[in-house]
Formats: sequence, C-alpha cells, structure tokens
Amino acid sequence: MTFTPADQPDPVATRGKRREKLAGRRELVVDRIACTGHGLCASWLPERVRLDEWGYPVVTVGPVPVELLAHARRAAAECPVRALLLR
Amino acid sequence: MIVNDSRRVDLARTDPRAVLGLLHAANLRGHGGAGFPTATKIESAQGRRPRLIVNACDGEPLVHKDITVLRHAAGLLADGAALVASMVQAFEVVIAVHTTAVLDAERIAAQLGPSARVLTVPDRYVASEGSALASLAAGGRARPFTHLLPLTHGGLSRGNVATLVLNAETVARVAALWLDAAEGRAGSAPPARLVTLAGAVRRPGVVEATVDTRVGALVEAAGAPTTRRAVLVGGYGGRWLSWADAAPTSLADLGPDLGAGLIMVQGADCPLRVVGSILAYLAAQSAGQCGPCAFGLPAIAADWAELAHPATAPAAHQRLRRRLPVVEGRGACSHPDGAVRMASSALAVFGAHGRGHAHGRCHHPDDEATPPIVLDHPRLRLEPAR
Repeated sequence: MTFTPADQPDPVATRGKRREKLAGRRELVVDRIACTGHGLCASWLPERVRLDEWGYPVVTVGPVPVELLAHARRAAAECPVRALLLR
Repeated sequence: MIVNDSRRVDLARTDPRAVLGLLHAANLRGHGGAGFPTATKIESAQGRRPRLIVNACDGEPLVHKDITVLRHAAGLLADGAALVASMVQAFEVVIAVHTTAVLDAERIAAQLGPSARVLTVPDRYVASEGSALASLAAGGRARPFTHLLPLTHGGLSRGNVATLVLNAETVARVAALWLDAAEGRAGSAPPARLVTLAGAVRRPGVVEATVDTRVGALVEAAGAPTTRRAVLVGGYGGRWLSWADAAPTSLADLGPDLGAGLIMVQGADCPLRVVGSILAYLAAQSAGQCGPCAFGLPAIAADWAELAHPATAPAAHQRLRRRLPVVEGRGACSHPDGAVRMASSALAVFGAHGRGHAHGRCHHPDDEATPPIVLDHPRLRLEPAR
C-alpha cells in the first residue's frame, strides 16, 4: 500500500491536445509521505514553492500559471523522491 | 434512536436504490469525525466491488460511542453492514476494532457470515484513520497513506483495492433509517447522535440525544461542575468553544464541529495545561511520516508549554501564531489539521487566561505538578432514550 508514482500516467509524458486542454489547470501536489525535505523544488520553482522552517515545501494553492508550467514540470522531474506531482 | 433498539431488518425485502434515496433525503453524514455525506460515499463505491470497513475503533481516546454501538445496537449494526455491503456488492466486510472490543466485534461478524472478519487495529491515534484502516485491511501497515483519489476508487495506486470506510454509528443509523421508512415514520423525529460527555462532568459517559438538544442541557444532565470555562467539541482535534457560546448551541448547530461526538467540559483546572497535554499527546501520536506533522506538532506543543511562564510567553505566542497556519493542511491525513484547529480555537477561547499567565496570575493549587494527560476513559454509562 505504498505510494508508487510509476503507476500513474506520467504528466510530463502527456502530450498534445490533452496537454493543451490542461494547461492553466495544472496544480502542484506534494506527496507528503514521500517528501523528505530535499528542498530542490523551492530552488527550481521559487515562484510557487517556499520551504518551512524544517525544510519542507509550502506550495502556493491553485493552478500553476501557464508561463510557469515548464519550470513546474522541471521541479517535479528533479525531485529526488518523486514527491512533487503536477496534476 | 439506535441504542437498545432491537428491531431487525428483513434483508430479503430491502431495495438498495430506495435506501440510497433515504440517505440522501435524511442527509446522513458520517459520524466518525469528517462528516462526509454517506450516500455520496456509498455511490462512489458502487460498481467497484469494494472492501467494506466498519470503523468501530473509537479512535478518539475519550470517545466511547463505537463500543456503545457494538454492545447496545449490535443488531442494527450487523443489519446496516449487510445492507451497505449489498448496496455496493462488497467482497468482504471488515469490522475494525481495538483489542478491547474484539469479542463484541466477533459477535457481529458471526451474524454477517463467512465474508466478514474482525480486524484488530493497533492502539494509536492515527491507526484508525480511514486510509490507515484501508492499508491494514489490505495487509499493509496501520498508517495513513497518500491518496490523491478517494479510497473508494482505490486511493492512488491502481493495484489498490477500492475501500469503503464507514463509522459504526453511521452504519447502524443506515439500518435505523430504513426501518423507520419501512414503518412509514421517515423523518418524523429529529435525527439522533451518540455523544460522549467527558472532562469535568460528574457522570461522564455516552448518551444518545436528538440533534435539537442543546450542549448546555447535555452537560447539565451529566452533572455540570460549578465552574464551566469552556467545552472541547468533536475530539482532541476538535474545537474549543467558550461556555457562553456552547451552552445555547444545539448539536445540529455544531454541524461538522461535533466530529466524533465528544463534549469535554473544562472546569476550574488551568486550561493551558489541559490544552498542553492534548497537544503533547497529538504530537506523540503522529505517525511521523510527513515532515510538517512530525516536526511541526512537537514544535507547537513545546511553544504551548512555554505559554504558561511569564518570561517565555510573549515569544511563544508569536511562534504559535506563525507556526499554526504553516502546519495546517500539510499532512497525508488530517491529523495535523485537527491539532491546529484545537490549538487555534484554544488561543481564541483562553486568550484572557493566557494573558493572566503572562503576568504570573494563574493560581491553581497543583500548578507545580506535572500536568496529567487526560486519557483516562470515562466509564461506559447509558442513559434511557429521551
């Protein structure tokens, strides 16, 4: 019953029309159990992620603006434990 | 009223669609704490052949309503479970209890037949959270897991089993609603809730009361103390209300704040110590999986402990104001949210008392003693239906 991101459709791999449709509605979600506070997300996407005093991400609520989507995708991809999801 | 209600459901003559309609009409919401609409939850599990988990754990340490249902509404609980199981075509029914209630649960499972079993849940606060139960029932650990989809859809991983978790009282009320409707009495009386009175009352225990009953009347009936500062409603992760606000409020007006049905009365004791004890308990009961909860709750509990001393109080107060909103909503389960809700409402209700502390003005005879954790369970006591 552990969290396995591999089971989910990879948002980065989702191309074409679906991506067009979802742009502007994508939200950053943190798998709080998987997250171990590496803090890379706050470096890749400081516009949407800051770290709390213990080093865990505080993510701005709401859809990621279209102009930040590329950075958000990169931040999610760079997470060492795949705890940052763009859904 | 479900306590000591010996009616039984003729399962051969029930109509799942009609039951669902009844639940919608009665607006039955889960009595386990979250208050989610039961009909919606059942609908979302339909067609998925889920595992049905009846949560009879009484996860809130002071609350004794699930054991009351197991012992005094056993027939309705068994029939309600069978009814819901047939509505969603559950492949098995699991009755989740802590060790103290295993024998009571075995009796219910025996009535339900071979597709029912009893699940013994570790005695930890978060072990009876919905996703923790789903995990344990599936052979995993009794810890919450991240579910970005509803549990009735399997949670997250596609390999997960769809799981429908319902509180024991909720399940018994489903059967009672059906029986009322079959007798043509649907909606004739206001719905009832099991409420556990605890804290400074002289006769703590479980009562069943209609939702138009006022908190003040319930507390008076249980033997109110002479000094009534406030009540904690819902559970340890609930909300503090000043006595003046709580007394005239009916159970229905409390809405989702009634949670798992706890009404804990705060008498003359120093409220800072009671709140501090609860925060220390909640911090210790974190599953330690999510950083904001594992680090945030102990920090908040430590800040709270410093509120009692004039020298440290102002800085501690500032840290609490900063930390409480940061921790909220950042766990896989709502454990940290409950702790934050409890602490924030305590700051609002006991603010004047806290300022007295800051000036060295709390004169309680046992102030120097280590605060006792308020975990002793009230004796099980039943009052005749009113």
